[in-house]
Amino acid sequence: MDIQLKRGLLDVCVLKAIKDAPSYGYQIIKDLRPYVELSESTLYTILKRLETAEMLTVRTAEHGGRLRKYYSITDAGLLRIAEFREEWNEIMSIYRFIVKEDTQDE
Amino acid sequence: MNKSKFLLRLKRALWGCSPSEIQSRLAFYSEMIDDRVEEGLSEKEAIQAIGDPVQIAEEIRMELGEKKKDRRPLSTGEKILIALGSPIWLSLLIAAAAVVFALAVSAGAVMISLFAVMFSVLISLYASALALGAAAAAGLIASVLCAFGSLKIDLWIWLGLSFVCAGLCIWLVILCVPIGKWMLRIVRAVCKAYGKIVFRRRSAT
Repeated sequence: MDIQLKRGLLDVCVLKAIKDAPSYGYQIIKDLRPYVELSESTLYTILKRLETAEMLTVRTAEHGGRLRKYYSITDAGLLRIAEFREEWNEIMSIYRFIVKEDTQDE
Repeated sequence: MNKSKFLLRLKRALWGCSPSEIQSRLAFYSEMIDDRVEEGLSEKEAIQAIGDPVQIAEEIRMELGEKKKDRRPLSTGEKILIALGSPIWLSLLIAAAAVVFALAVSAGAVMISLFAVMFSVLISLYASALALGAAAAAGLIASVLCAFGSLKIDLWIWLGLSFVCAGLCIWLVILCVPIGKWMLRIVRAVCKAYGKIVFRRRSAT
């Protein structure tokens, strides 16, 4: 898959994983596992990118005698998901156009 | 491999990256291992699921490199150009370094002279307090001498002046103590900031 497209998709996936409630690294990986296999280093990069873009905020909390980072979505993050849904309609219409061309060629 | 060994290997493989970057990555992987162990995996299994630390470090380095800029090798023409241009860019570089050095030194000099001014004010305040104290003592002695003499009017003048001086002296000392503390705090803060800016440039790049 095109790297730019995949990057954008994964960003929205992670935002979706923290949309309803704050979540932590391993939980995000587990929640996304049925749809996309994320490696730890990929997740780290996405989380950093979203944090820089202020689409999520990070909070460190104690859990079972150790520290765990929790990620919460911001308004900008929610907006990004909404934007994605809009963009997706566009992409689907392009997709239908491409598929139509192919059937005519055959 | 256990967790501490994994983290140590990852740390070693990330050698040369910025300390804050390494710290942040290690904390992230440490949490990932702990969360898997909490779910029921053994430490060994958790680490296997995460992967080889050397390979992970390689990925991280690639990603960091990509973020900075894609470094493509120089062509022969560019190398020659750089070599030929060396009298120009080398001297410019030296000049720039000299400017930076001069700025740092002059900033330091300004700082020190500012401190000197501040402390000379403080010292002169203390000196005034001392002088007033001495005047009070002298006034007291004079009044005692007058008490044994014939002129009783002088006694009250001397005693009054002495009390005024003593009062001013006490007020000055009370004023000077917090001023001194406040100055020390400023000096400490400024020195810290100066050190951070001048000496810790490398870790920022």
